[in-house]
Amino acid sequence: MNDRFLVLPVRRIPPLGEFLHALKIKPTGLAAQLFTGVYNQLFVWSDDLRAQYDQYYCVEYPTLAAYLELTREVYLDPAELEKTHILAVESLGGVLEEAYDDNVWDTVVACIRNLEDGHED
Amino acid sequence: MKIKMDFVSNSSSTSFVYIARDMLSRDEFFSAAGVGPDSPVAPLFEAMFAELKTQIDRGTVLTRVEDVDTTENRQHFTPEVLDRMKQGIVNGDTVTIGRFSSENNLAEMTLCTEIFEIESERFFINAYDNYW
Repeated sequence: MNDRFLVLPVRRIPPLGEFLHALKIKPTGLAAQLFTGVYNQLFVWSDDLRAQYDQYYCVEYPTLAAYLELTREVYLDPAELEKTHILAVESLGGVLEEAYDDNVWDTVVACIRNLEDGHED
Repeated sequence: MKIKMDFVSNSSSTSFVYIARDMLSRDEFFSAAGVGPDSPVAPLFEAMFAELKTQIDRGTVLTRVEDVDTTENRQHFTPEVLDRMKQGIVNGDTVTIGRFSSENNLAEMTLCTEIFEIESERFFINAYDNYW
């Protein structure tokens, strides 16, 4: 894994159609093309650190928190640690590019949180 | 995802063509791009529309069919798009070749690095040159 990555804990991974719909993007067109790329970066090409821990590292590290802190220097709140998926998103590019202050990372994450809340209701 | 197999530089510029009777409007762009005006990511598309409009304004207008065959940018377009440019001129549309840079801002960088085509009843944009 590269040094630079962002962590996105989520309770569920939304289907692509639901993700685009929440962003008010139609299934075809330039917007869908761009944000399908965002979806792939977040949910398809990311590493699920919880799954990795459960599958490979739970014998070596006593807790998920210890695994994240010792191997990734990731420190999460207890509420975030309880989430189903802890996604490590690498190579943020395109409209998520960190070099630009107006990238859409925060907007997309807020949308994902809204989807999670709506799904729980 | 773009994968460039030879020399890679930190910045680039790419060509696109805009064919239409009139200048692109915001509502047309949003509709053709498939994004709602109340979308949480609408500001990004507002900025992309502004960049696109600026680059169309700054672009080179081809007024004769022969110009399509002689323009220095012709290698950036497929034979189908070159034919479409010629047909556009014959039909009385304005055919404009513009450029995007990857250096300036998020909206223009996105337009520069994404391979895309947008078609609607009123306009056609082809940016297949955007490979890295």
